[in-house]
Amino acid sequence: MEVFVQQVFNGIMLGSTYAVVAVGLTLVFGILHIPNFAHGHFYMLGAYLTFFLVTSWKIDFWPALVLSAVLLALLGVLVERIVFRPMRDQPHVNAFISAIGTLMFLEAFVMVVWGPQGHRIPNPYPETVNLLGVVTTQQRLLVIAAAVVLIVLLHLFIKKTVMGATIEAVAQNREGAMLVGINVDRVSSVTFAVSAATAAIAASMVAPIFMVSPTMGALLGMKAFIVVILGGLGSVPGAIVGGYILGIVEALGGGYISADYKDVFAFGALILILAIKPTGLFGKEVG
Amino acid sequence: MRRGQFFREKWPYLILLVFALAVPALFPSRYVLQVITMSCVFAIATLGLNLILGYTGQVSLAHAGFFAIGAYGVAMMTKAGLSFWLALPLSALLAAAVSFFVGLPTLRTRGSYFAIATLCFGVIVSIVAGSWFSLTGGHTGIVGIPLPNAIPFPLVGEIGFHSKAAQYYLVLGFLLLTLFVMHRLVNSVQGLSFVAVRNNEVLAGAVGINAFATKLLSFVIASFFAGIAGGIYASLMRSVSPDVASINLMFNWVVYLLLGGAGTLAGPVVGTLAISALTESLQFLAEYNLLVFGALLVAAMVYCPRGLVGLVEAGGKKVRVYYRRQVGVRSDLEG
Amino acid sequence: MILRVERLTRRFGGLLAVNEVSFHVEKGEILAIIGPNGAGKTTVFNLISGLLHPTSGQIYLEGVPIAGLRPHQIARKGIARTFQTTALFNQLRVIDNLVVAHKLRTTHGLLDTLFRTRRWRADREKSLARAVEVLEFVGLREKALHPVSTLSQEEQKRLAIGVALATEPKIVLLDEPTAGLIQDETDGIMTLIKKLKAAGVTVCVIEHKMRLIMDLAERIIVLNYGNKIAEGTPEEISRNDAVVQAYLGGEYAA
Repeated sequence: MEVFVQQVFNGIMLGSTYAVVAVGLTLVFGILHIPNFAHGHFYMLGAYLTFFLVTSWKIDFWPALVLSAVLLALLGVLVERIVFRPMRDQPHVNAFISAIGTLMFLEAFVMVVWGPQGHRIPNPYPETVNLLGVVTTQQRLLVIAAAVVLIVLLHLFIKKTVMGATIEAVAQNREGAMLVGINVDRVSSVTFAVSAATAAIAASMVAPIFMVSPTMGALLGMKAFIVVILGGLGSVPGAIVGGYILGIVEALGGGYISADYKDVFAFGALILILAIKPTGLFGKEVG
Repeated sequence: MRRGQFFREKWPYLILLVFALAVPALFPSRYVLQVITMSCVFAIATLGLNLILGYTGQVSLAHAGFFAIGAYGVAMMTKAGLSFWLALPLSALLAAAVSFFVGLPTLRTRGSYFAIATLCFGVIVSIVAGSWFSLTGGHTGIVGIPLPNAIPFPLVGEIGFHSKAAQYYLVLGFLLLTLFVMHRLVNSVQGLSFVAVRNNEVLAGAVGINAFATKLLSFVIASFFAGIAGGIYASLMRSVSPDVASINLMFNWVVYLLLGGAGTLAGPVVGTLAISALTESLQFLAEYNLLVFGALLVAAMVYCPRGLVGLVEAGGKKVRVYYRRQVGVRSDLEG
Repeated sequence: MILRVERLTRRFGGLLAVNEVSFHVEKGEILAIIGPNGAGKTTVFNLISGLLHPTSGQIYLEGVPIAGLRPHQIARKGIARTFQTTALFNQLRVIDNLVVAHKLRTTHGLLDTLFRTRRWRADREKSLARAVEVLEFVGLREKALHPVSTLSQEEQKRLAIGVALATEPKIVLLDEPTAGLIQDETDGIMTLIKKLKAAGVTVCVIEHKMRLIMDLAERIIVLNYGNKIAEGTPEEISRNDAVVQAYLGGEYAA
C-alpha cells in the first residue's frame, strides 16, 4: 500500500509536468492548429537556460526561472514568425516537417553549447518531507503546487482576458476573426509566447529533480502530443486531466509492471485509441 | 523502341551507370568506399520513405522502426545459420507484414496525427530493441553477424563479399533494383493514384480510388524497402544496436529526402549522396551538422518545398519528355 | 429508372439537413435540383455519392441499394460527381487527371505494374483511349499535356466534368457547374451539358441560375429547408406558388 501511495504521488508529480506542457501545446496545436512538434524542445531549452543562469551567472533559482520563461517566450515568437507563419496556407504536413527541422536545430544547439552529457541544477529545496506516509522533497511538492498555480493562471488568461478571448475567437473561425479586425498574426505570436514560456517554467521546476539533457525534450514532446490528442484537441481541461492520468499510469506501470516498458504503454495506448477513434478520444474533426 | 532511340534518350543515365560502376576504381580509399556504400544503403531507405511521404503525402515516422526490423531480422536469422539471401527477403517481408498491421489503425488518421502515431510505433520498436535482452541483446545489440554469403558461379568460382568493392557492388545492385521498382511504380496509373491521394483525397474517393488501400499499399512497400536497407546494413556492419531504430536516423532521411526533392525519383538518391558527401568532407564541422540540417530543413520547407531536384527541374522543358515516358501519350497528342 | 432516392434523411445534431426527400432520375434525362442557399442540395449529393451516410432512407442505383457504401465503392458502381468548388488533381497534368480517374475500370494489380504485363499494357491503352476521348468531348484536347494550373476557370470546370466522365459513369451529378463563371463561360458549360445529354449521359444537376435550368432540365425538383417542396417540368415549377414563395423569401439568384 505504501508503495502504491508513493507511486501515485510520483505519478501526480510527473503528471503535473505533463499537464502544464500539454496545456501549452494545446494552445498551439489544438487551438491554432499548428503541429509544433518542437514543443518538447522548448521545454528542454527552458531547463537548460535555467541551468545556465543558475550555475554560470549564479542567479537565484526563481529569478532564473522567470528569465528563462521570458527568453523562451521570445524564442516562441521568433519560431512562429520564421518557421510556422510561412506554412500557414500549406498542407499540415509541411508545418510538421518544418517543426522537425526546428527541433533538430534546437537539440543540436544545446548539444554544441552544453555538450551531450546530462547536467544537474542544484536543488534549491532538497529537504525531505513526510506527507501522509509519503517521503518526498520540498521541490517535488513545489512542482505540484506550481503546476496548479500555472494552470489556474492559464485558465484565467484564456477566460478572463481580452487576449484569451481573442485566441478562442481565432481558433473557432479564422476568417471571421479577421473580418472583425482581429490581428491573427499577433494572436499567433502571443499564443506561441505563452506556450513556450509555460513549457520553460514546467521544465525549470522539475530540472532540479531530474537531470537536464539534450534528449529530454523529444520524449516529453511526444507525450504532450499524446495527451493533447487523447484529451481532445484544443480542450484545456482535457489536456490537464490527460496529463495527470498519463503521469499516474506511467508511474504505476513503471513501478508494478516494468520500468523499461513504461513508455510502451503510453505510446501503444495512443495507437490503439486512434485506431478506434481517428480524431482522438474527445476529438472534433479537423483538417 | 529502336536501339538508336534508346541511346539518344537514355545516354545521361548510361553515363551515370558507368560512373557508378567505376566508383571503386575512382575511390581506392577503403574508408571513402565504405562511406559511399553506407550512403547507398541509406538511399534505399530514403527511396522507400519517398514513396509514402513524397508521393503519397503521409509523414511516416516509423521508417526507422522498419529499418530496425529488417536489421534485427537479418542479424538473428543469419546468426541462426540461415543464408543471407534468404534472411534478407524474409526480414523485409516481416517489416512489410508488421507495417501492414501498423498501417491498419494508423492510416485511419490524417496529417500530424498519422505522423505522431507512426512515431509512437517507431519509439516502441527502439524501446523493445533496447530492453528485450534475450532477443535483441539489449543496448549492446547483436555482434558477429556474418557477411552476405558468397554467390557461387559455375566457372569463375564464387563471388564473396569480403572486399569493400564487392560490398559496394552488392549495395549498388540493390539500389538499382529499388530504383527500378520505384520507377515502374511511379510511372504508372498506380503511381498517379498515390499522387492523387496526396493531392485531393476527397476527389480521389469520388473517382473510385480507395484512398485507404492506396495509402496502405504505399506504406507497406515503403516499409519493405526500409527492411531491405536495414538487412543489408546489419550484414555489412556486422553488428546492430538499438541505434538503428533511433529517431535521429530517421530525421536524417527526412532531411535527405526533402533537400533532395520529395516526390521525385532522383531526389532521395541525390539528397542522400550529396548530403552524406558534404557531412563527410566537413568532418571538422561534425558538431554543427544537425544544427545546419535543422536550419536547412526549415529553409527548404519555406523557400523550395520541392528540393534540389525541383530546382533543377523547374526549367519546364523536361516536362514533355518526362511525360511521354510516363504514360506514353501518342505523338499525335502533342499539338 | 437509373437512380431512385427514397425518404432520404440526414440529421446533423438537431438540424434536419435533408428530410424524407424522394425522387428518381430516368435514363438519359437531365434532372435539376434547385432551391435557396442551405436548402440541402449539396447534402443530397454528398449522401448519394457516399461522402455522408444517411440517417435514414435508401438510395437505389438500377434497383440495387447503395446507401452506406463508401465513396470509392459508389464511384465504381457508376455514380460520378463534381464539386461546387472545382476539385481537380492540380498537381497532375490534364490527361493524368483523366487517366487516374479511369483507374477504377482497370483490373491490373501490383505485380502487373511491376512487370508491365500484357494486362497492364492493355489497361494503359484503354485508359489513354478513354482519356483522349473525354478530352475531345470536353474540348480540351490541345491542353492534354498542360499542368492543371495553366487552365482558365472555365477550362477547369470542363476538366472537372471530364474527370467525372472518365470514370464511365451511369449517372453524373454536377454540383453548380457554372458557379463563379461569367456569362460567356456559363454558356460554354451549358452547351457542354446539353452535349452530355445528346451523348446519352444521364445528368443530375444542382443549379442556382433559374434561367439556365429552365431551358436545360426536363424535370426539376425544388428543395427548401431540407424538404422537397415541388417537382415537375420547368413550366410547372415556374407557376408553382410554393416555389415562388421560397425563392422570394430566400435569395433570388436569376
